[in-house]
Amino acid sequence: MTDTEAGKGWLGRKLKRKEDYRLTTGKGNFIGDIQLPGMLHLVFVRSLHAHAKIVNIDTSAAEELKGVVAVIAGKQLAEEILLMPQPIVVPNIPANHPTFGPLAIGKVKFHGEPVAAIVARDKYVAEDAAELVMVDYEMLPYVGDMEAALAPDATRVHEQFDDNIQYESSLTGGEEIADQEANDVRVAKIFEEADLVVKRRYRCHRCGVTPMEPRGVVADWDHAEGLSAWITTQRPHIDRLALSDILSIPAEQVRVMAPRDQGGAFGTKAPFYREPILICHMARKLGRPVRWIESREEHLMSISQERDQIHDLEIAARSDGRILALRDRIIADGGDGCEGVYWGYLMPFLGAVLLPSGYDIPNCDIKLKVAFTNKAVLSPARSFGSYPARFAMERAMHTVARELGLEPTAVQRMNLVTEFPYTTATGFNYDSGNFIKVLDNLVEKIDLTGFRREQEEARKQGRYLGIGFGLGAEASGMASEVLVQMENQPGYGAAMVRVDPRGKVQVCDGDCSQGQGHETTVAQVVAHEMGISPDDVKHSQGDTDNTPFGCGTIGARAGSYKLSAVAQACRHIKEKMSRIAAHDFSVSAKPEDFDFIDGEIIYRKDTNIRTTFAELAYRIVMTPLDLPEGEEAGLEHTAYFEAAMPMICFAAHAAIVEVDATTGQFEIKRYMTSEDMGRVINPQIVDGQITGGVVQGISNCIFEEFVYDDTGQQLTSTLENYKLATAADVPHVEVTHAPTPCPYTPLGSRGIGEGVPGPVPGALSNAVTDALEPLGVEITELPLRPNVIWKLIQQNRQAAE
Amino acid sequence: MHDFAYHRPQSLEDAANFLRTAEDPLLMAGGQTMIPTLKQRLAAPSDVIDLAEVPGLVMIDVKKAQVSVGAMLTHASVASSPEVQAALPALAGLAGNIGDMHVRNRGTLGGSIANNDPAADYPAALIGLGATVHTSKRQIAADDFFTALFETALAGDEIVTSVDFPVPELAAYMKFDHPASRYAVVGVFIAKFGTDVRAAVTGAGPCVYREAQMEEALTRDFSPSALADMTISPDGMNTDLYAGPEYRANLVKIMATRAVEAALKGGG
Amino acid sequence: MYKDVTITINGEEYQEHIPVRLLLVDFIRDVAGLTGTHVGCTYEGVCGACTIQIDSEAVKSCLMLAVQADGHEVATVEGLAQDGKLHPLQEEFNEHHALQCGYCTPGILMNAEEFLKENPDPSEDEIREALIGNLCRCTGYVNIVTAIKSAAEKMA
Repeated sequence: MTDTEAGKGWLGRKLKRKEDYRLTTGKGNFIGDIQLPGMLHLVFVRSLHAHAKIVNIDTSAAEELKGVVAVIAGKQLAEEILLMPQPIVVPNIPANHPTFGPLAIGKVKFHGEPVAAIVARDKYVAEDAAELVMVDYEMLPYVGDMEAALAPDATRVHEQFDDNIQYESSLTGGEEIADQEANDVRVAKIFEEADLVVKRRYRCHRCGVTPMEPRGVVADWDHAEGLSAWITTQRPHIDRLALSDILSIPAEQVRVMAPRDQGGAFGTKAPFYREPILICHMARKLGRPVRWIESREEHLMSISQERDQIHDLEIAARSDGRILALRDRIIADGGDGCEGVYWGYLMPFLGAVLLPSGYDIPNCDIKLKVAFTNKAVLSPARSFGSYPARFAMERAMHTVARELGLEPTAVQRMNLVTEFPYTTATGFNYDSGNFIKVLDNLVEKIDLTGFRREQEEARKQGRYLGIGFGLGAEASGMASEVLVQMENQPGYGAAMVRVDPRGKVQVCDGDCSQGQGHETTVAQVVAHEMGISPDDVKHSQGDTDNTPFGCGTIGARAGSYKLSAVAQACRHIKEKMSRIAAHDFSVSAKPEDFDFIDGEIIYRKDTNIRTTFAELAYRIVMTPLDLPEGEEAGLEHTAYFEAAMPMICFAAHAAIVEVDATTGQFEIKRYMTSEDMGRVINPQIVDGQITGGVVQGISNCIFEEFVYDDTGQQLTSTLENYKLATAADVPHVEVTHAPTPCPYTPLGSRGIGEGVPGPVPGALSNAVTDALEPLGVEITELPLRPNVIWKLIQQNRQAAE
Repeated sequence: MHDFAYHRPQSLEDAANFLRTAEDPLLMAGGQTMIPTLKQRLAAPSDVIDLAEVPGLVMIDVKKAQVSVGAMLTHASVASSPEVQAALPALAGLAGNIGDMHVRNRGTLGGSIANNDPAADYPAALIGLGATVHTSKRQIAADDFFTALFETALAGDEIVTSVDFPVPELAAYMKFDHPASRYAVVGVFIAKFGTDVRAAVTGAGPCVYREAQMEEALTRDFSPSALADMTISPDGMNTDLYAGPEYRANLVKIMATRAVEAALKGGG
Repeated sequence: MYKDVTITINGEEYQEHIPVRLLLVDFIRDVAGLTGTHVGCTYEGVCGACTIQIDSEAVKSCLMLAVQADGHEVATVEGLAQDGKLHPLQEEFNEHHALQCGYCTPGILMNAEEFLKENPDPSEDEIREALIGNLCRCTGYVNIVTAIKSAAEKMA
């Protein structure tokens, strides 16, 4: 066996997850399971109105209720802590970042904004007390329409700014205004001369990826140790720094821990939110542990709302289907914009950057405006910002193809990026891949040709079958070159690997899994690198006291950045072990002359020279005598992996639907994806990421929508009306692979997961449009509700008559 | 949830007494709608009277011409009863499509009809089959039972004990599910008794109702084509995120047509 | 208002003096300390993460008062493995990667356990229909369906 094959068995294997035993036997440890002696319960009083002046808050009746320990409102709180924004959670992007505290001060800006809080010994009593808090409001005009909000004379959501424009910029043409104008003129000329121009308004609704476990915080205060806080979070290290700043507690006295188990996140637990600030402050103020567990209603009223964008998108094409230019005027409804790290506008910003997707379109003119409104702030959801962009782009590509009488996949294929590295017109770098291979794989496996025959037959019988394709080039983690600007934090992956005297390996990192199975994939990588069993690897994460700085479990970075750091740290330790082995065996050997296989370390030139991994570990850690000159004791290394090139993963999705024209309902008869995730660490885990992401995308596309009425009342704050897809609503998702290993990671892996829902709205809406082509129906808005589709069919029938 | 007193009476009489004496009582018959209402603080009863142990309410009696179901019988029990499946498959099918398995394991016939949610399924069966409601005081014809949105003919101290469903010649229930709650956006129950046809519609309006023109057309010709040229007026129909009045009117016709097709195939 | 209750959970009897408005799910989690039963929605009883069995029937423990369970037998996920041996459903969920975050899993297991008793040889569609009261946000349901089917085969 050669070195390159040594221990390779652990990569690419469907290793059963280490996490599952505890999670299937009821022994998980989620935020709601954490109990501290004397723990108090905090409940928020939230605004009943979208936009109103707070005239008075009377908390006296609540304070008098037996069992209530404290009641607090915004004004008082503002005297006790600093306010947002704090620099650590502000992007290095010019935009308006509003001032806000955990509880509203002076006025409320969305239905559901916290105005006061109760701390009580019992949560039922806390709820009784919350009802007794009397708030007098004076109504203000509701700012609910993003386009109207941008008008210069519109009512302002934040008086501190001159208007409701939170963010405005051109994503193309360079940094200088003059260059941008020159670019726009050039693009305009291409449009004037093109064979075909397609122009549509695409509207993606407000929806997101609410996880099954809402948020929660347990905070404890000790005068000597400071603050200990368990927070449902994707980035404990940023939370620690932000809490330190805003509560004016020295950083060494702040310890943030992500619970070992978190019930999903999908982006919703990535921001620095207002609620944890208050829970931590109250724990300090009262000197007692305080817990807040978010209700589903609070969750759906205040977070996991994303995707609210309008695209006025134009494509200029040649008659053979080659895209010549792309122009888009994007508006996003950012809500009140009050949220650390993302501030409502980062999602549409990244969506605009990623708009060209996998297509080679050098001539682009893309501009974005984000409006403040009296709605909950946009907060991240998987396929961050790009879900609406993918919808608009893929719908437009389909339309270009059909206007030219071409098969949509032919037009998609013709325009794909083929040479790497590639930089988009928006300045985003793609490292490598083979996009055409991914699309061809899908077209072949779904049997497009066969389907077209079937469709023709079905149409003769009055049945409406359709096929649609959606593509997406998604960021596979973000390098520091992107994240420092976008989120004011590094993008490297960091991991500490320690070999103990028994030859067991401990890995610690500062991220935190919410279901991604990091304990398993980390163990597989270590087993692969060290030639030991995954059972001998223990992974822990999420505690800021004992992990290296980690930028968080965000944006599909485990497979690309974190596991690369783990591999890098293992290699560093292996080299040291090899050097000491060479010294002990008195052989003149380079580190690569030793194989690490099946728990043994074997000198390749003479395989009689060998020792076990555990023996050598013991020797180095416990008997640090006679070490080679200059060698330190111990076997521990922290590695930081920064990619040479921002990595991406490419996917293509196809949906086959049948529409019932009498009701507008459609059935997804088949859903298939084709993926390039480079070299796979654990196929079961990555396929699980894909099936899960696809169903989230389907659920967003068909069912989920946050609805505000004309006065800003949020009508969808329970799962009874914010509908999530059930098992009976969705098809069996078929996952196929067309991999190209990544040359920029030590294992060839690419991170995947974050962007999975992105291609779904394109695939589904193209399929419905394709099915209803004989009736002239074209989908330009989401969600794809039966009543909406039925209405489009009626309108087209009436128009035809 | 507000605080309240909880009682579990052991007889119908005791239950009725609590209803008469308590300040603001609420009957619990499974609680699958009631508990969420309490949790949202939309109701604040002084006393909750749980019918779980009142004898005689958990019964099922299937005769050739009539299926009698006790008020506290769960949807799951009705759905899985081989006798009901044989005698009145449309009713078993309806019960088996209420909510989800968990709700069907706790939710009851009595709870459903006493609540009279405009989108509930059971009211369509009662009206469609011309059932008779038995209470602690009297018998009420289904046509007189459901009076308005969340209103019934029940007096304050009156408790539903059972419902008699006449067995029709042909029957079927078809509904267009609310995607989240599985209540009916529109549900149509069609039943044929000899020459008589009844057509009950739930979900479309504020209260379950009979669609007269449909009954007439189907009395003349019990076939899907009898409904083909019918226009259903959207006036007064409900509107929500998932369906406006025009769409609901369309669904009434489509569901009715499918119900007739299903009835002709043997019901379900 | 308070009431004395006797509730048996996984064969163990709990005699407690509890508020009548205490939800069964809070009794299970906070009084009995069995935190495998989860809360995913608050008012509506839609998500199914709190699914337990009462007298062998799957129900949502957030849609019941603890006092309603007085004198009844409750089974939770903690009681599914017997004598240290995992239930076939637990085994197959691990084998087929039917869980990611695991928050919904206990509820699904308790529902599926009852379902397979009633329908030992279900089709894919029947499994999917049986799962509508249990939301999962991570998996897309594909592997859950596979695992339940596989457990049914193992139990046959």
